[in-house]
Amino acid sequence: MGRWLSLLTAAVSSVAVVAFSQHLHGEFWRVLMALGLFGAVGLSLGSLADRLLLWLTQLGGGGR
Amino acid sequence: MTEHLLLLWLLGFVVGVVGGFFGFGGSAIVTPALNILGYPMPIAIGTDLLHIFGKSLSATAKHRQLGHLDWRVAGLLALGTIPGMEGAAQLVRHLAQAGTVETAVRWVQLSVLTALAGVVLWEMLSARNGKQVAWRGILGRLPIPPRFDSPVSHLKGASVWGFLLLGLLTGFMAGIMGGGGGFIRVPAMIYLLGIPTKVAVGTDLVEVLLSAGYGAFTYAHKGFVDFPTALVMLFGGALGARLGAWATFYAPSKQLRGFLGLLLTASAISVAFKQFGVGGKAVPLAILLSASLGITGFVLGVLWQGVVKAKGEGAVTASAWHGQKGG
Repeated sequence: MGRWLSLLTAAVSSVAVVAFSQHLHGEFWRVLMALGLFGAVGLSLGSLADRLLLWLTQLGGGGR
Repeated sequence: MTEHLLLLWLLGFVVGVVGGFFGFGGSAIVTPALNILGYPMPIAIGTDLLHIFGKSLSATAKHRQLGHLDWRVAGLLALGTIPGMEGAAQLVRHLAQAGTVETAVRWVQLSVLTALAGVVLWEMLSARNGKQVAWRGILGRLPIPPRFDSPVSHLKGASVWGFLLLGLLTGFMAGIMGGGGGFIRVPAMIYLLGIPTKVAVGTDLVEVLLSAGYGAFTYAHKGFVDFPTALVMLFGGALGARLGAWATFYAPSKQLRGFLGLLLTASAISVAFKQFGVGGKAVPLAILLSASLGITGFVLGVLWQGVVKAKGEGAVTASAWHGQKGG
């Protein structure tokens, strides 16, 4: 996943999770949707973490 | 929540690194921590489950890239885990009616964690003296068909029943002790099924993902989840889990088991403090958090050294990132 796409997914999904999570009690589809969006945040943040570490190692002089 | 933003992020990050490295969910640390921060117990459990779901998705994806995930083993264990957990829930219900559940559960936790820590540390010392543990993989070698092969876990002719039995046992123990059961399942997979350490860690995360996903759904459906809090922890947790999972690529299996032994020992001491009423709620939690912080430092050091070395050799993007090396 591209860096900007990951960032965008994480940002949009985070906002959507907070919006969806209001008054979830007993709402099957909204709970499912919020969980899906939460998963999308997790995956996109993971992808960003990979890039962050590679970038840091390049900064730290680990490159050839 | 706003006054604890940084603390929640840090908690998520530390537990994420430890969880991604060992294949655990980390509920033994996060639920009591949230409770101490003022969240009522059902909300603390539900919020923790949701954060575990999000970060284990991140760690599982990384372990899949690294080739540390065995779907066949994960499926067989899951089949055994469900009835095991159900059986434990029934037993806990009976113990609760008898009014002895707290003491019984703590004694089980203390015995199991002490035994596991002892086995892991003893195996490490034996390996240092050049001795092999004779019973390693004993359940996988049961002489009962049907059998199956799994190249990922280097298994040949392993008995399906051994895996179902282990799923049942670890599911039962996890159901009694609470949480996803990674503390029990990972060492059990390594020693009783003979699965390579890194594959055990990656495969266990699938179990964690399934149980936390189901738990988060059911708690959220009942209104017991604080989504913004879980999101803050996820920002730390997904990052930490990914880094922890990546570190398994560079850490030698022996070192990984050594850290596991240390964490299990810290957990056993923490439960002992709780059981004997020493230090209230805070001291046992502080013991677990300190051990996790220490291990996080080591894990990040291992990762940094590994990536810098691999980059120097021009191998990082081709191998570690896409998981083209065994372990």
